[in-house]
Amino acid sequence: LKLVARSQIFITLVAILLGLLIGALFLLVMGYDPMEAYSSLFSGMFGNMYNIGEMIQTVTPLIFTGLSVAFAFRTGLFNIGVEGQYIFGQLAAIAVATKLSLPAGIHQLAAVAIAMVAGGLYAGIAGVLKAKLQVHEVITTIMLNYIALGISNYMIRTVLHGNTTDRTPPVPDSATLHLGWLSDLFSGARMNLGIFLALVAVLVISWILNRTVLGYELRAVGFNTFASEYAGMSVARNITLSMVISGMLAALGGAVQTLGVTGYMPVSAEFTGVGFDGMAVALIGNNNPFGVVLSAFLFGGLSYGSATMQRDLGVPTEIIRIVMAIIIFLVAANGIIRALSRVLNRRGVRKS
Amino acid sequence: MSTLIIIGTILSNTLLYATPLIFAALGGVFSERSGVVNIGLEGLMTIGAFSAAVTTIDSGSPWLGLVVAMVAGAIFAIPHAIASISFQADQVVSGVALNFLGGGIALFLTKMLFNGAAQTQTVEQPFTKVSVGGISNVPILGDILTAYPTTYLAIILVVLTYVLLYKTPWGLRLRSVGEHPRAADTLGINVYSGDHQRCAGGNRRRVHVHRDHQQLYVQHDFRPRVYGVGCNDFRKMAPIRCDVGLFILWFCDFLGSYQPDFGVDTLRSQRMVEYAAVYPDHTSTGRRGWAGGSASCRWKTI
Repeated sequence: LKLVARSQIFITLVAILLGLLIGALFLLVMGYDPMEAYSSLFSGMFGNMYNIGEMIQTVTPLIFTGLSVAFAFRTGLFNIGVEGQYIFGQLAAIAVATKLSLPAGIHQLAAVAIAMVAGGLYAGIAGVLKAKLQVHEVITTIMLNYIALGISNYMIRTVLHGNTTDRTPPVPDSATLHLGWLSDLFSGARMNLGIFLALVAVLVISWILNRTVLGYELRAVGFNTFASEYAGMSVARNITLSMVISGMLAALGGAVQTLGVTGYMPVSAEFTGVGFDGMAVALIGNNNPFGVVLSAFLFGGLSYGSATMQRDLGVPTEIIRIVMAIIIFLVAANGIIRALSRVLNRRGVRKS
Repeated sequence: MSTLIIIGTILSNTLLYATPLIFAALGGVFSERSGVVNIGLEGLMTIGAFSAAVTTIDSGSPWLGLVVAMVAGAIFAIPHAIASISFQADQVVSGVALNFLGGGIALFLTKMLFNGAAQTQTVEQPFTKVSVGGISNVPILGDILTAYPTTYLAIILVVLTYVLLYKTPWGLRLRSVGEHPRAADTLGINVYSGDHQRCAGGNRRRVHVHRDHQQLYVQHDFRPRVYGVGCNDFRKMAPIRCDVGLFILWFCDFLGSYQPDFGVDTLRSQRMVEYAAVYPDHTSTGRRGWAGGSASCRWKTI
């Protein structure tokens, strides 16, 4: 088992290196200097305290959505609805934050908790449909994304809006997750409680998956539905539960982002993209909670740093998406890397 | 009379909006029937849109743009085919990669070619509406049938696809590979080459799609839109049925955009209704057991 894990990590690392390399080649072909571009990219990530802080801020929601996708994946479900659940989390959080007046502390707790419940129930719809009617979750969750976006815009326009109808009023101080002292430490970056919550969530999910009966059953159902059923596990219950937990994670990410970073919610014609990026994060992180943290930093970090690259050198930020695509691709088709390393090994043997 | 005109406008616009979806859905039908799940529709559509827009701006011929888009889409589908068939990668995952790649490359090149702008210039010579014979003189029917040439192309392709899939040996092989690769292999059908062809072919269809799109909205931007994913939802269906579904979908959407005229507040909420309306259909088509998807990704010749 250790060997398998090692080879999986090895493949991922090779994929990342190859991805960056092919990205560099692509830049070279397009007439940019790849060395210059990459150094600008990394200075955009780590150049000063502000950049580091903002990078962490960019990474945080990706950890949540990545974790959400990864959790569902581990239990055999492909949750494409993370985007919708994320939006639902944002909506519920902003609703509680702006419509209720509670003392600080309780207010945050209520907003986050209700957001999680809302996101969980929302994802649960797809879970129940899958469990009871065998409707494929990929299709239902895609649909639910649009429904979430529609509901969110409708609610903001009719109920939650402030002075203008296209956005909510700002989150009151009693409900914010913003951390002033930490922001000061990172020279004004929008720091908040999110990254800590994210790390706690990673630990909790890892514990649930690997150390509890529930996690064992969830993984078993994902691995072999029929065997699990034969062994006396309730397949329907586990599928539903898995979707609910996955939705809760996504919603938590949405709540954290709204309450901690943006501070309001606008009417939006398009998706945030955080949920879809979460898929990439989960796939590169090998659907392992800790892997998700690393790959969220890889993806979020590069995405954030690429803004500096575009500003300084005019290299379009999309190069990062291309690099990520290649990495996902190589991780998915890991046979390519295996074949490559086999060829290299053989050559090494022949030499010796 | 005015009601009739409204109905005519609605119908002709439904055709207009449904056109890109028909192309994409047919692509989906192709790859799904051959057992390849393709989440990468969106990325391929984006690439098609990009190459069509750039070619048309450069050459002034929308037809050339259409052809280039088809070729570009087929090329971009190749990695998906290789990964999911030769290397047995998870098809959903490599589809996701394709979405990232398509969107990434299209936007990257757009920014490069158009000095950092996130969208291309206006396409100066888009397709224009044509009408067949003297039909444009017929009051209502003329309005409906005076459509873009791509709309006609889409409808022709629906019929062609049906014939190809259900009335030719090639189509039979394709479907058998999709449904039961092992059995097909036993009968001497080459599962691999079949799958590859299918994947590329399917995607070629898909690519027209965005082509139409920028002729509808003259200005074009490359952010992912509803269409690709929406089309995915119909991919399990037979060609004709899928188009009926799409017509309904876009009819709803169009009604939504017409709401002001009917004195209803313009809300995007109609989306919810229309997607909710699609659900029952999936409950009937989705009964493929727990796992769903296709078997060919795990298919290996012994």
